[in-house]
This record gives sequence, C-alpha cells and structure tokens, in this order.
Amino acid sequence: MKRLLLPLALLLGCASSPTTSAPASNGTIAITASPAEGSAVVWPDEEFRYTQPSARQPAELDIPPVERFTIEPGIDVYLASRPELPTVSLWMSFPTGSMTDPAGKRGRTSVCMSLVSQGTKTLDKVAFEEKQADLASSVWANSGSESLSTGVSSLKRTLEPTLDLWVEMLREPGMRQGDLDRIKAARKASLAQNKSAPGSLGRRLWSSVVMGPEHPYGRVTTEKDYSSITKRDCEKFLKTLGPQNAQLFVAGAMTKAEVESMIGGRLEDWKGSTSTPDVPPEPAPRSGGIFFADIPGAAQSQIYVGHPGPQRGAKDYEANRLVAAILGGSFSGRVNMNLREDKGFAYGARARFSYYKHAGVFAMSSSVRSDATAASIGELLKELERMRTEPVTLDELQREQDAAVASLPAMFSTSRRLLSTYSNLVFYGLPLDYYDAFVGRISDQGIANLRTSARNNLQASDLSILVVGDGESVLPTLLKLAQDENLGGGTVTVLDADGRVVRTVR
Amino acid sequence: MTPRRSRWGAVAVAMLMGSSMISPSTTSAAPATESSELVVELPFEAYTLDNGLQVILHSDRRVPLVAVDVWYHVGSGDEEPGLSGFAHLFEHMMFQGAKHIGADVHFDTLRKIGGTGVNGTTNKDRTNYFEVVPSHQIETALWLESDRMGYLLDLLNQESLDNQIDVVRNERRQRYDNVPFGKDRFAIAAALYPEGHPYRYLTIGKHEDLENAKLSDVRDFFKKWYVPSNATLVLAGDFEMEDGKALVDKWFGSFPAFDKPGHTAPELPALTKTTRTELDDGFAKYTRLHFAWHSPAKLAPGDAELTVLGRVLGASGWGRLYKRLVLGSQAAQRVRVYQSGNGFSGEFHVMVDVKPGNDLAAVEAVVAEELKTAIAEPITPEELERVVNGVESSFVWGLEEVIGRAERLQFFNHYAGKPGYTQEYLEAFRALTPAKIQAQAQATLQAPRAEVVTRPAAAKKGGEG
Repeated sequence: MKRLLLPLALLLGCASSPTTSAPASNGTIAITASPAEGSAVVWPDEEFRYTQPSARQPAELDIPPVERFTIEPGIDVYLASRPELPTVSLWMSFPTGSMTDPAGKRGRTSVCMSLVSQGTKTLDKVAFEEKQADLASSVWANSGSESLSTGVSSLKRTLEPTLDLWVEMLREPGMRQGDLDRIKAARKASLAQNKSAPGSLGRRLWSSVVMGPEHPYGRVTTEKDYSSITKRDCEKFLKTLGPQNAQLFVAGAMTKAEVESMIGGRLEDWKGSTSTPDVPPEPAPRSGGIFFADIPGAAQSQIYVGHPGPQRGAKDYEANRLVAAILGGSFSGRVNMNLREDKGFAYGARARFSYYKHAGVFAMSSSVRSDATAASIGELLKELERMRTEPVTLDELQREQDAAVASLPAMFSTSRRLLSTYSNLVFYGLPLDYYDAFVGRISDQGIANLRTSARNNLQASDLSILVVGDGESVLPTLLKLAQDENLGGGTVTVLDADGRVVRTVR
Repeated sequence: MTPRRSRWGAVAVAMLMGSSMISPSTTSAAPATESSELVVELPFEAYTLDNGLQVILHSDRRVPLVAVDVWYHVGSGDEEPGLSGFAHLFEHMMFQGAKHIGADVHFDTLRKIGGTGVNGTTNKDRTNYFEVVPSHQIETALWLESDRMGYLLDLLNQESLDNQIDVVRNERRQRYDNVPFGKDRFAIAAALYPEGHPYRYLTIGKHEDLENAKLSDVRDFFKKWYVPSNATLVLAGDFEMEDGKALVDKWFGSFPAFDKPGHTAPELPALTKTTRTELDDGFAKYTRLHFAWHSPAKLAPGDAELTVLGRVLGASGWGRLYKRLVLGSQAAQRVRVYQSGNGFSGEFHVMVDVKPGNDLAAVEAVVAEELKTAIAEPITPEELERVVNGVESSFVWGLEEVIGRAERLQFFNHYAGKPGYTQEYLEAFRALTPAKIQAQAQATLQAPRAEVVTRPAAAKKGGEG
C-alpha cells in the first residue's frame, strides 16, 4: 500500500485566517425574537466564531493502489478490490471510437454500440432488459470519440448471472434489424429535439466550431448519416473489436483470483485486437469571428468562447489547470463571479481546458439572459485578456493549489471513483504513479508559471465564438460587437443546426 | 453552555439479515448464504440539543472525509401567496455570508480546504445545505454552517438580494423557460392545485413574485423557519463519536431555543373533473401527452404501491407502456410513469413523448387500455419481484458515498420521523402484493386527473435580423 505524507499539510493547516475582527467586548448580541417567543433572545457571540478554526492533523494521503495483471486472452486488468463491499462495478475499454466513423455514416460507432446493447442471439430486447431488472443489475455499452466501453454494475450476490449476460451480449449480440431501425428513428427524433433549444444546440455545434467541421473531433451527425447506417456496417464494425488491447477496470467485491476465473474464464477464447485510429490532424477551427445559430424566442443565449488548447500530456499541465481553475473552474472562478454574482447575467459561467487523447480545447461558457448576450461576451473577453496579461493574485493561486491538493482524498474515496481516476490516467497514457508527485508539482507553481502558461496557452485573437439564441433580439447587438477587427470586422456568420454556413450578416 | 442531550433515536441500528454489509462495522455479519436477503446497515446515533436542533451522527472511519448536511424543514410548500419561489431564493441568500464568517466566503473557504459537492437545494418540503470536507477540516464546515444558522441577518443587504433575484430568475430561464416542455410543468401544477396552494407555482416560483421579494421577507422567513429547532444536522464519515458530539456542542449548543414552527397543510380539494390543457411550445419537437393525479404523500400508505406501479408501467426496456409504445408501435420516443410524493400530498404522472408523424389518439388509446388493466387486474408477481429487487439495489448503491448516507438519514428523519427507517422502508416494499398495488391503482387512477398536451409550435420565422 502506497502512502505519502502531504507536503502541503502545513499549508493546509495554515489555511485559517481571521475573517473579521473580534468585537471590542466579548459580549452578546440580541436579535429580535421569533414571534413565538415575544421577548428578546440572546444569541451567543463567542470569540471563537470570529476566526476560521484551525485544521487538525491531516490524515496521511492514502492513495489506494490498483492491482494490475493480465488475464486471458491478453486483457490488461486494473482492479480496486474491496471484498467488504456488496457491489461490483466493472467495465472494459477498447481504444477506438466515433472518430473512425466513415464519411456519410457519422454516428455509426454510437449506433452500433447501442445496437449491441439491445439483446443477444437468444434474448430479445425485452427479455434482455427483464433479465437485468430481475438481477437488479445493469449491463451496458457506450461510445465516445476515441474509446468504447462496455460493462456491468451488479450486487455481488447476482454477479455470476450478470457476467453471463454481459459476455453473451459481447460475444453473441442480437444485432436485429428491427432494433437497428428503431434506434435510428429514435436518434433522428432526438436530434430534431436537440436542434430546437439553445443549450442542446450549443453542445451539438461547439466542437465543430472549435475543432473544425471536418475534423474527426468536430464532425456533427445528421439525419442523413443515421439513415445510411446499416446492419452490415455494424457487423463489420464489430469485427474490428478485439480484446487483446482492451483494458478491464474492476471496482468492488472481486479478488484477483475471481477476476481471473470469472472473467478470464468467460473470455479466454476471444481473440484479436482492436484496430486503433490514426492520430488526427491539427484542429482547423472556425475562428476570428462570431458564429451564430438562431432559436427564435429563446429567453437565454448559450455562449462559448475558446480555441484549441494544449494537450493533457503538456509539460505545463499543472499551470494550465490552475489558470483555468482561477478563471472559471468553480463557483469562485472569475467568470462566474463576474457574470453571475456581479452582473446577474447568468445562473453560472465556467472556463476550462478539456482534453481529447490527441488534442485539447479551451472554452469559457455560459447561458445568459438574451438582452445581456453581447455584454456577457464582452465580459468573458475582458476576463480572458486580464488572465493573459496580468498576474493572478497570491490568494487565487493558493486557493486553487489548496483545492487541487486537498480534494485528492475525494478522488480516491470509493472504489468507483478510484478506478475512474486510474482509468483517466490510462486513457491519456500517464503513469499509474502519477499522483505520487502530484502534490509537489502543484505546490511548485508560482504566479510567474501561471503567467507564462496563460500567455502561451490562451489566445488573444483567432478566437472561436459560438452564440445560440434568439436572432431577432441578439443578432443586432452581436453585429455591434463584431465591429472589432478581432471579432469579425463587422460580420457575423450564421450557421444552421447542422453547423453549415447559411449566410454572413453585416 | 453545555446542552443536555435528549435522546430520541436509538443507538446503532443493524438491519436485515444476510450476507453482506454496507457499513464498516468491525463485527462480522451473519454467515453468508447464497439466497439470503441483502443486509443494509446504516448505524447512527441521534439526539436533540436543548435548543431543539436535531443531530444525527454516522461514523465511518475508512476514508478521511466527512459529509456535513443540514436540512431545514421548510420548503416551497410553506410559501405564502405572492411569495412563490421564496424558499429557494432564500436558499441562495444563505450562501451570501454571515456575521462572523464575512461576506461571500462560503465557496472560497470550502474550496481551499478541499470541500467537494458543495451546494444547497430546495424542494417543496425542505431545504438542504451540504458539503464533503477532508475530516481534519470538519470544524471549518461547522463554523460556516453554524454562522449562517445563527447570524445570517447581520450581513443581509439589498444589493445582494437584488443580485440573487437576478440569478434565480436566470436559473428559471435556464431550466424552465429556455427548454422544451418547461411550460408543461407549470400547466400540470396549475391544473392540480388551486390558486393560493403553494404547490401551484413549482419551487422555482413566478418571475413577478421573485422580482417583488423584499429584505423584510428574507428577515421574516429566516426568523420563522431557520431556527435551530426546525433544523437537523447530520455528520457522516470520518470522526470519532464523542469528538463529533463535542464539536456540535461547541458550534451549535449555545444557540437559543425557539419554538418549532408548525406547518399548515394547505387545503387540497379533490379534482372534480378531468381537465385538459393544450399548449404550444416553441422548443418542443415531440407532442407530449401528460396525465397527473393527486396521490399519497411521500412514505404515506400507497406511496410504495404507486412507486412499483410506475415502474411496471414505465420502466425503460420492460415496462408495459414502454413495450407497447416505444418498442411496439414505436409511436413514442420516451415514456415516463412515476409516483412523486411530497410532504402534504403526492402526484402520479404518466408522460409520453410522441414522435412527429404519429397519431396522438392512438397513443392515448394505448395509455387508456393499460391504465384500465392496472385498475382491473393485479400486476404479476414477477413484475413485483423485479421492481423490489431494483429498489433494494438502488438503495445499496445510494449508500456508497458518505453524502449519500447523510442524505438517506436526513430523508428518513424528515419524511418518516426516524433516521433508522431503513429496515421498515425496505420491508414495506417486500410486503407489497399485487392485490395491494391494484387497490391503490383503483384509489388513485379512477379519480379525475389533469391532462396536458404540448404540441410543437409552428416554426416561427427565423429572426436573424
């Protein structure tokens, strides 16, 4: 078991500071009593209330290890064994995803994985679902742009039959035409719904704006794509999946021996490896102006401002993380304090770096009152420029350093959280002992590092800006904003709900 | 002042029999048997301070985290006419600062100490405030929670109220006004509850009422509802029991006692006839058929029965309406059927999203048939068993994190009057029979109901200017 002392323990212990000064007299204050009492009631005013309590001795940071081993037929296993729990959660990851979808058939991977989880050769959709419900388990499959996962959540007492069901789905999926037709129709219907509200349309279009509409990370799926996906496409796709470069993550009430016998035993005759996708080209963002999609009558506009960013493995990752945290990583972040707590434009606002396997994105986002759309973009740009050009305060830096370190125990607090933390490391190709030196790397950062990071990794120009909202009221104000050379030089580009350019407005 | 402790809760409660344990007790569980029932053990100690504050402590020392969770037993169901949305607006004000901690420090302070899951929520019955902190920082969480319980009004000012009115109105826009089917939720409530009934306006409230909220309303609300005797504090996680009690005494024990405010159950006349409201929704792309009935309150007799019936009719994959409408005719994109109990009364909902190009009347006919069957015939034992298995399993998964355990104790304390209701809760489901569920279906579903049909509005002319 790996244990390390928190080098920042002292810092944590010193985090307390007086927030207000104690009163001259150590007296009491009275506020008017509740109606029930009818006379003044005394509230205490003890000295100790005036100062944040000192931290106690922090526990040693205990990063629970995962067991790593390989089972037949060559699957890498990551096990967080907790025999005392009544539950097991496990999933297998394959290194491919929707970025391999061929032109004209975007959405193929996602639809095909959904088809896989409809049932098996012997169990149709209803029988398959009933069986899961009877076991009180869930057997699932899903997909992302560059990884596919399938797994189960089960009580220990029903684990064996749940695993049977899972393996039957993996090895003998039903692949019924009727299920495929239904999935395609449902996808089209939900696509139409997603196009009709600012939040969901913004989420749909943002990657295509910031990564580029033809980039493997940026393509949107259309009704036409869904129509063209066939059962044969899915069967062909499934043949490209194999277990030999898959990873299996197991959390909960299983031991190594149980994983070997219960899962290895069920999968040992499955051969082959998954073909991994090519490294994608550089992002080709739509930038240098405002891109707008219209939802007539919207009460709020969904706004994104950003650009392609550094990758997860970048040397200055820790500094970037702290920069984004200060700018908008939590309630305390600058953009939230500005748009929400100061201006009252929004319910919330965030800024973050996020990471694909081979690319990164910087984005500030918010959903703002329609009549405050242009003003909100102006504030976001101001905050971006301030972050790029001015040093952060020591308070901000320390708050986010403390937060990054002090919240580590929460990342390892349950077997499932522990395993997601490790599976993230595996996804980005980072070492499993990554967190051993994490505290040191975070605490090494100073104001100057963050300034360098902000200068290097936040752009002053060529920004991608996406606004989804009510055109009639919002577009005129965006046009004014776009007078700035950097923001379009007087033009706004209008996109349709599939991200195609409809026209340019001046 | 050291308050005398009046014990009203039992000490550690070990529940059910069987093979495995949720809880970290060092005592060994009964021998495992394959077919045994699940053991769910959620030990706690509960007591009340002299000032009436209820305290529930659950100690689990495996992971160095503590969940601090305060429930105030007031929600939007206690709002006065003209002040809809106020309980939730007030919740926002609780994050603005208090006398000793200062202004706007809540989130910053918790962030610095590694607090996670910091938030507050309001429903019809209660308002909760919670955070999970590293256990060596437990006292900072108690400092923050005690200060806003005792000293909120010292820093109250018009500027921060004005700002939070804007924020809450933005929240309403984001979650209700700017999304498909937001109007449907208001229309159902308007059809079920008469003018003046607090459930009529949903917890988020009306824009005009929010705009009209005054500082004096905040003061009055605080003094009436946010007294120690109307609150329950739960600590769940890594602390030693006696230490936890001493800390609670230090931070809350010297607070004065006020009478516990009483809740007035609003009059709720039964619906005299089924009403139908037709809506156009500019964001909607499906036609939503939505029925709602008055039903029993949360944990009241009939609540579990209707919870099961909702699953039998609506469960994704195997529910009766799902099978017929999503898998069979495929006229529906989605089906939801559920019982939603609140403190004073409940609602039973049937909701079907009909895909464009399908016949609403045909969908309604299927819904009518299945409702008729649920009234005329008992569900099958297999269906019942399936749902109860799922209820047990979700219960277990819900206890995985310390905050889940804190919330479970609070939930049972609030709605059942005892934090140790776990066993009774699960046994109530185990004791259900198809006949009991049928009887409840008859009692609830044969009454008049609220019907709301939302149709996609004809596409407005694009307004790109």
